[in-house]
Formats: sequence, structure tokens, C-alpha cells
Amino acid sequence: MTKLVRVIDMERCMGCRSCIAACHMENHYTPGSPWNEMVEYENGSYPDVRTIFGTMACMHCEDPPCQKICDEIDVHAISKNEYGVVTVDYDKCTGCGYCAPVCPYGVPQINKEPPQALYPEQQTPYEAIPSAQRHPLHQKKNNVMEKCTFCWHKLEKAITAGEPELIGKKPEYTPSCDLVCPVNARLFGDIDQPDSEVSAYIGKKKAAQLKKQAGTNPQVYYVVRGGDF
Amino acid sequence: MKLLGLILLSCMLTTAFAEQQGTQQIRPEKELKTMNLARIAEQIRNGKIDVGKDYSTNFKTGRFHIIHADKLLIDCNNCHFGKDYKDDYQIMSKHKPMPDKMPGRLQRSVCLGCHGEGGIGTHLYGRSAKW
Amino acid sequence: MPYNRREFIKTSAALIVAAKLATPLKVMAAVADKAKHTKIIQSTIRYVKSTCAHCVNFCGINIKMENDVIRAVYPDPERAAFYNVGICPKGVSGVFNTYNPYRIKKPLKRTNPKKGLDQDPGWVEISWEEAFETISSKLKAIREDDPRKLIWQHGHGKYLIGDKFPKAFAKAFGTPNLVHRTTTCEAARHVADELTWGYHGFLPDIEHCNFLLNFGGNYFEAEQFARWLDHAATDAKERGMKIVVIEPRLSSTASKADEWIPIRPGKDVVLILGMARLLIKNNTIDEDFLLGTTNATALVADDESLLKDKDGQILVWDELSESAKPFAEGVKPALRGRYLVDGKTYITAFQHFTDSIEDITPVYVAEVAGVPEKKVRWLAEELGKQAKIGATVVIDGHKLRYRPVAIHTFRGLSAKEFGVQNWRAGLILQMLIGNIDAVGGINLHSVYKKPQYFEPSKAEYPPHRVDLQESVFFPHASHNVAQQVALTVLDPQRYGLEYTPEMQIFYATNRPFSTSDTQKQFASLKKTYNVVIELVMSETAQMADIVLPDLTYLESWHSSPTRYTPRTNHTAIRQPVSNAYKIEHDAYSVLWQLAKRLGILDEYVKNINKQWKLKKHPLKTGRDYSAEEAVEQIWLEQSKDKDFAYAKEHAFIGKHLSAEKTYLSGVEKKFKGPGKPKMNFYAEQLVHTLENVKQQKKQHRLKMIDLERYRLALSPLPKKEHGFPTPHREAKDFPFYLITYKRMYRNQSGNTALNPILNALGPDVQENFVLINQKSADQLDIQTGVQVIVETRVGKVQGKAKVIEGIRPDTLAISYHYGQQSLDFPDYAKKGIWVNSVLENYSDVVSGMDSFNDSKCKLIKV
Repeated sequence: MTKLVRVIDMERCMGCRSCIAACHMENHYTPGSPWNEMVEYENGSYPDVRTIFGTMACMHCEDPPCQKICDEIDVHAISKNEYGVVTVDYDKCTGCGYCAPVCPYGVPQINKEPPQALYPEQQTPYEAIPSAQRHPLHQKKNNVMEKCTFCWHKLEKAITAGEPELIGKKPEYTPSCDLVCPVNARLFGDIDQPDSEVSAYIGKKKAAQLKKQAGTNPQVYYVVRGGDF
Repeated sequence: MKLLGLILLSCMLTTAFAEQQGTQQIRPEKELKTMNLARIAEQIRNGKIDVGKDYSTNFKTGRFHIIHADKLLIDCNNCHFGKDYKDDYQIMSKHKPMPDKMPGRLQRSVCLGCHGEGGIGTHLYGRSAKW
Repeated sequence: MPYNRREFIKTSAALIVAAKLATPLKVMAAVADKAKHTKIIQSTIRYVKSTCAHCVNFCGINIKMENDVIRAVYPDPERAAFYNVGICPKGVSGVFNTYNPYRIKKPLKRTNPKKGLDQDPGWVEISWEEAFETISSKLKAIREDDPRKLIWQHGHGKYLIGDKFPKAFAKAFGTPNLVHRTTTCEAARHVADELTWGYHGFLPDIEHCNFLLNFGGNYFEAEQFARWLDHAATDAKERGMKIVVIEPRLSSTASKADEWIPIRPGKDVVLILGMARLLIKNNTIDEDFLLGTTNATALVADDESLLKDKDGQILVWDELSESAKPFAEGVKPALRGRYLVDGKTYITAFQHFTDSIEDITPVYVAEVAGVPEKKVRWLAEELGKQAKIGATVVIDGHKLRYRPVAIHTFRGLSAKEFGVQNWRAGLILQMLIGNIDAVGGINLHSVYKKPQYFEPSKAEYPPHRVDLQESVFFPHASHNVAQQVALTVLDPQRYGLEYTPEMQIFYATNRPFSTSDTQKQFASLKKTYNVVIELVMSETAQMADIVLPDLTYLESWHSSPTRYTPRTNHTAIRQPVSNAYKIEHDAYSVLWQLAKRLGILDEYVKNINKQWKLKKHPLKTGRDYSAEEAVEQIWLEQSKDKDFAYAKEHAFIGKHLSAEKTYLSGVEKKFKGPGKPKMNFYAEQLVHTLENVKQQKKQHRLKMIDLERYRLALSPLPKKEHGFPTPHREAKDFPFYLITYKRMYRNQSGNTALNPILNALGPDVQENFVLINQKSADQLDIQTGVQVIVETRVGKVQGKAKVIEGIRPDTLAISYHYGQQSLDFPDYAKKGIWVNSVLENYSDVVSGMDSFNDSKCKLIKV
């Protein structure tokens, strides 16, 4: 079995937002619909205060309520593949917006803004990369839901190359947010492998899931100090 | 009558919410009201109550608000809380208005009450832990 | 010939089935399904290694190219063992530093003669030929008249093509006026180093450190060496190192620390001296180190000079012979005490220091610096305990001093009116515990490389440089005085400059925007003919007569600077992957063209070889060199003949340093033991510099030299008075301290303000705020988001307040690099507060350091 998980170590995270920038760059950021966000806030009061840094993206839950509601209304745009990655089919999505309120983490981004270039009215060569040249998950459409894909377009390459065990290890097979972190605060790998780095990290550092009470069983683990953040 | 019904409904929902928080107060009236809601939910599911075909969160025409606000009479404030999320609330997009025009932010833990395991709504959330 | 994905999958599926691991059919089917809906065009992917040049960390990067388009920038995993593990958001979004429609694409000439931030220059495009012709004929005229009238200023330009090409050009041209930006960075720290141990630069030996005291250094949001320190410090913390961050604002670095001590701005020196006093009182000092490696044993006369023999050798009190002798074999120097020599009383430097800080009690520190008395005691005790004085450790067969504590700082101690004295205090504190070049302590870079720093300054007058470097005005300013150029240009007579500057060339610097008291900086630009080489229409470019476009770091060649660590160093290059707007020249080729047209090309080439130390692979005269060809020569020299193809493939060579190199080639080799020069616990040269300053003032009747100011700044030992910069003493009606800081998402030059990815990292990144403490905000009825005015003695700025817990109640903080003013910039890139425009400037007269963080201000709710 393969269950891909991400570990975000909030004790190490120093709030630089490199991972946010990396996600935007990797996934042809749609202005207004970020796939990765920084949650930053102060804990305590002067002078006994600290700023907490943590990022949130799709949790790729084992029981995704977004998929359930999408199936419930017979649209079936959201699917979870054998590697545990939850993706949305932009062609099937009707933009109804149900998945957004139903997600305990607020992940789904309903892209309602009219398409615009990153620099107002001027397209760069990066944006000019034709849609047909992009991975389907980067062929963005207006009025559909989009969200973090665990950089499936990169993981897929590992699978078709016959090297799924290198997911999270080889840079080409690692989600870009996990790749750029300057302080090694993020890991990505297969939790079903008992000797994998993520398994060891989760066990040793007592990484936990957020909002467990929602019962969606997310595949993103957080190392937090003293409970939920 | 309607006003009384609304007040009772609010009380009931508040208690239902309080139950989620861990208080153990079971009142006979609550059971009756829950059964009423369950009946409405069932009638929506089998089409006896028409909530339209617009699968969207549009306030006027979308099924989402027709079901929850119009038919189930859930008060706006039950889901839309205050003006802002607190900084440490575990949610993405807490800085964007969601929904666009309605004041306040969507409190998602409310959904769990009906849509969790054993709830009257469509089961959407997996193995909910007991609080 | 593009083929669709389904066929590709079918083929690979067949192959994979034959192999061990089979692609799940569900995945293949799903992807194949996709292929039905959308036609996929194949593209060529390749990776190119290079070096990022957004800041002075010079991270190794791996650039992903999709056909000819820059698709993404990732960290180069090969460099992780030597320097950076990841890259920052600026580096990640570097694509849009290059793909930026606001870039200057052609040379531009001004048609509106009026210059100003509110003046539209009326740019017209000109050809490169016309640009070169215009500039070189002006340069020719200046060269014939007085070449010193040309000023070359760079900032980031030093890191794009290196400062050696401009230096070579300036020398060939005949102007001494080449000015870099160090006094807006950390010049004071460098000068303190130089006065103390003969060169500059240090790093904590993080791998072995157990206790790190960080005075305002911010390796999570700013700073050189940050991309090494960030992960090294995080790893060390997990290993057990304790970090104490001492600064008025809760930076990201303070947030991850074990202790945050919110000290009152500018008072760090008082805390450091208070700690030194406690260490000395408890006798928790490394006497061996003080006796053997420093001049703490030197004998100080009444006039503050040191007792020397007729050969100029410094004398110590020999306890064995009870007489004053040079420290030679068989001499046992006294650390403490007063001694009579030839009828005069002398006191050891150490005793002098001890006496001078006697009244800096923990109570005094608490009162002045706002650090609770208990904390002061705890800091001193902990530092003394953790230092493990006397301990040794064996590494690679070498028995080494083991002192696993380090004091770190960057602008926290430096960007102050008394920046030099602040860091001198930090160095002295560390000499007391003997952690210098010890395992786990601070590691010094190229100790005693320039013995001339131990000499007093001639305090030259009249100054020969427009920035007054090493003149009577800034006698030990060895790193240029960036902010002074403008002031001298405005009034050369005032400073005794014998010529009036006529032309300035600015290369990749937004100098006037980035200093303090900026109005004067912009006013001065009206006085000269300005050529600006820049990427975008920055505020400096807007004041130009001619603007030349530049290539970005993803479009140009360079022998890249690198950052070393205590145990590694490396050699690197930068190579282009694009030329997005088909720009024909960058500063390298501009310099080459100008040198040619001025007829000084041969001289220029000779100087290039000297600057780059190209002995085996010099550039030859009589031919042109493209940037790539020049970089190849430099690479061959620096890599000792490693093939250039290797450079193009890997972009760097890393080296691990031996324990001997790291720990035994510094103070152990240069200063330790009898008969060798000593580390300056007592900076005697400053005493004689003051004498020279006095001399010059008298001789030339220099009214503007305030001797009291110089006497205080040129003190051979730091004192408590150095915790009271001019604004703190004078600005009585201004209740708040105003400090500045850096955020991760912007640089000063403005091209980051335009970057759409950097502007999309969150709702709080497009502008900056006035940070105010919750309690203070409540008192003034201020909430987050309300407009406030911050007023200093220089001027006013307005912006949004942000109420936080993480700042002292008596302090306000505004980050810099926001509030761009360029007329050319869209509104979204001009948000925020331009704090530099209201910062008071009382430069450190020792080093010329621009004092950013000494201002005081009022806060008014709009």
C-alpha cells in the first residue's frame, strides 16, 4: 500500500513563505485562489509572546467531505487516487461551491475571478505556455474549484518512471513546497512504509492532524508544540 | 406562532451545539424537534419538498441556502459568525469573504452536528471522534 | 513530433509490467482518460544550475527550463552540504524578476530638465550608440578636466558583476570615488572587527555552540549568511542549543528563540557592559586567553595611550621581575592592577576596563536598557556557565579550546550612531570568556589580514574622496560612506573637497531611497549628471539623465560571490538561461564599451587582472572579452584549472575545511603567545586618531568638527555613554523610539515591489505598517488598520497601524523597502510607508555607518 503524507514541522517553520511562493510558481497561480496559505499569529502577551507560523493547503483527507458532497449531487468531479491524492477534474466541476463550506479546513478555492495575467494586462512568457502544453491540473478554468494537488503532476512522473519509492526524495518527484523550505521544516513521503522518513518523523516528533474531530482523517501531519495551533 | 417556532428552533439548535461541546442535557422537546428536522431532511432527499435544481451556494436560487436557511430554518448566525476569524483559527482563506456578500465567516464545525456520523443530514464527515 | 500521452503511457505500461513495480492501472486509466479531453503538446525540460543574486546569500539554484521559458527555480541540492538547503520566496519567484513588463528595455534620455520625485522626466528612447556616445564624451571631458569629478556608486551591482570590474575602471579612469553601500548595511561591525583583530567578518560555530546570544541579527527574515544560519541554527536548537534573542521587536528569529529579551533600542551596549561587569566580579573569565592573546595586559597611561618601549613595543607588567617589559618568553604579564613605571602610574587595560564599568550595575542596566535586573544576572551567569572556561575538546586529532557560547549580531548592534563601540563591547565580552576562534564560539575570518587597521588614522584633510572615507570626518571608515556622497555633493566647500563632482553613475543601487534623511539625498541628484543602470524605473533611475537597461541575474554571466561557513567554502558562477527582452548590454559590457571609447581599455584590462588576481589566466590586452569569456578566465584561476564545462554543469565547487583551518589559523596563529601582536582588547589606535583629528581641526580651523562627539566616539573602550545616541539625548518631546527592520518579501530597489508572486504571499505583504504594542495602542485609542502619522525631527509619514504584542510599549517599528515613489510604478507597487524618509541620520563618526535605528518619534492618530 502507498499512502502519501506531508509533515509540516511548525517548530522549525520560520514563516518565510517560500513554500507559498513555490506553490504559486509550480502550479500557475490563479490570482485570488491560492493553493497554499500561511497562518501566522501571536501567542501570549508582551513580553511573553511568540509568533506561530504554520501553512495550510489541501489535507488530502482519507474521507474527503468535498468528494462526498460532489458525489452526492452526482457531479463526481473530485476523486481520490490510489496514492491518496485528491484531485478535481476542471471539466466536470460545475462551480456549485458546495465543497468550499463543507471542507473543515476551507481548502477549496472557487476561482470566480475573471482570468487575468499576473502583471495586469501583460502576459509573460511563463503565462504564455499554452494550455495544451500544461499538465491537465494546470489547465486552469474559470468558475471551477481548484486546490493543492500534492503536485500530482510531479508524483505521476515517478510512477510512470517506475520509481514511486523516490517520491519525496528526488527533487523532481517532490512537491515544490516541500522542496524549497530553507529550514527543512517539511517532509513528504509514504507513511505506509514503516522505515520511511515521514513515518519516523511523525512517530518521534509526535506529529498530529488538525481538527481531528471533523473525522476526515487528513494526510497532512503537523508537529505542533503543546496541542493544536 | 412562527416566532415561537423560530425561538424554539434556535434554542434547540443551541442545545444541540452545546451537546457537541460536551454538556449532557436531553430534553423531550428536543427529540420532537429533531424528528421534525429529520422528517424535513428526508422529504428533501426523496423530492417531496422541492428545493430546485440549482446546485450552487447562490443566496436566492441555490439549493444550499434553500435547504438550510429556507426549509430547515437555520438562523444565519448559526453558520456565519462575526466579522473575522480569529488569527489562530485553522482555516485557509480566512481573509477572503466567504461567502462573498454575506457578513461574517463560515463556521464549519456547525456542519458536523447534522452531517457527521449518525446525523440527520447526508453523512459527509468520516469517522467523527466523540468529543 | 508531439505524440499524445495515452500512447506514451501504453508504451511505458508495457515496459513497466515487465519491470518490478507496475503502474496502478487505475492511475494510468485516469490519466489516459484525461488525454481524451485535452491534447497534450510535449515540451523539452532541462535544468540549469546557477546562483541566485537577489540578495547577498548567493544561494545555489537549479533552474527548470521548459523549452526556452523559465518555468521554475528550485534550490540546488548539491549545495546543501556547503551552504543553502532551500531558497527564500524571492529566489523562488525570481522568474518574475526577469519576466517583468516594467523592465527598462532600451536606453532612455531625459527631456524634462527638472529633476524630482514628482517630476516626469519625459523619457525618450535612444540607441545604444547614442547612449555610449553621450556618456563617453561627457566622461572624456571630465577626465581631461579632473577625473575625480566622476563618482561611481553601486549597491547590488557589486553582487551582479562584482566590484572588481568597477574598481578596475575607476582606477583606469583616475577617480578614487567608487562607493559601495556598506554603511547602510553593517560597516560599523566591520570597523569594530578591524580595529580589534585586523580584518572583518565572523560567524558563530553553530555546529558546536550551546548558547547563542543574538543581538538583533535576523537570519529568518534578513541578513547575509541567513540561508546557512537558518537551518544550522534550527538544527542546533533541536540538538539542544539555547538561543536568546535580544531586540526591541519580536522578529521571526525571536519567535523561534528560547528567550526573547525586549531591550530598549540603542541600549545594548549598556547590557553588554553590565554583563561584563558581572563576569569580572564573579571571576568567570578566561585569564589564559586574556593574558596570552589580547592586549588586556597593556599598560595605560593617564592620557589613555599605551606604554611602549623605544622600539614601539607595547609593555606589560612582568610579575616575575616586577618591571615593565614587552611580552616575550619568560614574562608573566599581570592582568590587574596599577603600577609605577619611571615615576608615573599605569593601569592595565583590563583594570581600566573593570574600573570604568563599575557603576553599570544590574539595577542601572534595568533602568536604562529596560531589561529586568534578574534577567541581567541570569544572562551573565548563564553565559559564564555555558562558556565552560578552561575546557578543551579534540577534533581531528587537534586539542582545541572549547567555549560553546557565541554572541551574534548584524544591524542590531551596528546600525547605530555608536555602532563601532557597540560591537567592540560584544567582542570584549567574548574576549573575557575566551570563545574567540574556539570550538562552539565565534569564528573570525582572515585574522590580521590587514595589520594597517591597528594603526591610527591619518584623519586626512582635505578629503580626497567625495564620501570622506578615512578623512578627518570619518577617520576609520574603511568601507566607503554611502550616505555622505549626497551631502558632500550638495556642499563640497563645507567638507573641504577641492573639486566639485559633476557626474554620477549608479549601478544597481537605489541609494537615495535606502539611506536616512532621504530628502537631502534626492536634492543632491539634481546637482550632477546622472547615469543609472537599472532593471526598472526605481526612484534613483527617475533622477537620471540617461537610464541604461540591465540584465537580470538569470540573464547574465558572473563569477559569483559565495558565502562561506566556519567549516566550508565554495567557488561559484552564475550563468544565463534567458534574455527576455533581448537587451544587448549589461553593466559588464557597458564598462567595456566606455573603457574602449575613452581609450583606456588596456589600462582597464590590466587593472581587471590585478583586481581579480588573475596570474595564470589573465585577460589579454588587444581583444574583447564577452562576459562569458571573462568568467571563464576567472573560473580557471579560482578553481585551479578545472574545466569550464564543469562550471556550466555544476555552477560551483564546494570545499570542506579542515579543523586546523577553522580553529587554528586565526587568533591561535596570529595573536597567541609571546612576541606576537595582540588582539585589541584596548583599541589604542583610536586615542591617536583623536589626536590627529584635533590636530587637523586646529590646523585647518574646521568649525564643523565637534570634538566632544569625536572624543566620545573614538573611545578606546566602550562605555555607557555609547548607549545614548544624539536623538535619544536631544529629541525630548518625541516619546517613542523608532526602529526599522526587514521583511522577507522585498528589497529596496523596487523590482520586488512589482513581483506578482511576492505580492501574493498573503494579504499583509503588499504594504507595511506601524507596529505598535497593544497597551500603548489602547492608551492612544489606536486599532489595527487605522491611519496614523509618525513624526520625527526630520519629517512625517502616514500609514496603517498594526497592533501587536511583540514589541516594546515605548517603541514603534516600521519595515523599510515599502512606500516606493516612482512615477512609473503601478499603484499596487507603491503601497506602504517610506520610513527612510523620516529617519534621523547621525552617522557613526568612526566608521561612517548610517544610523538607522536611533530615531525618536511621535505617534498621532489621524
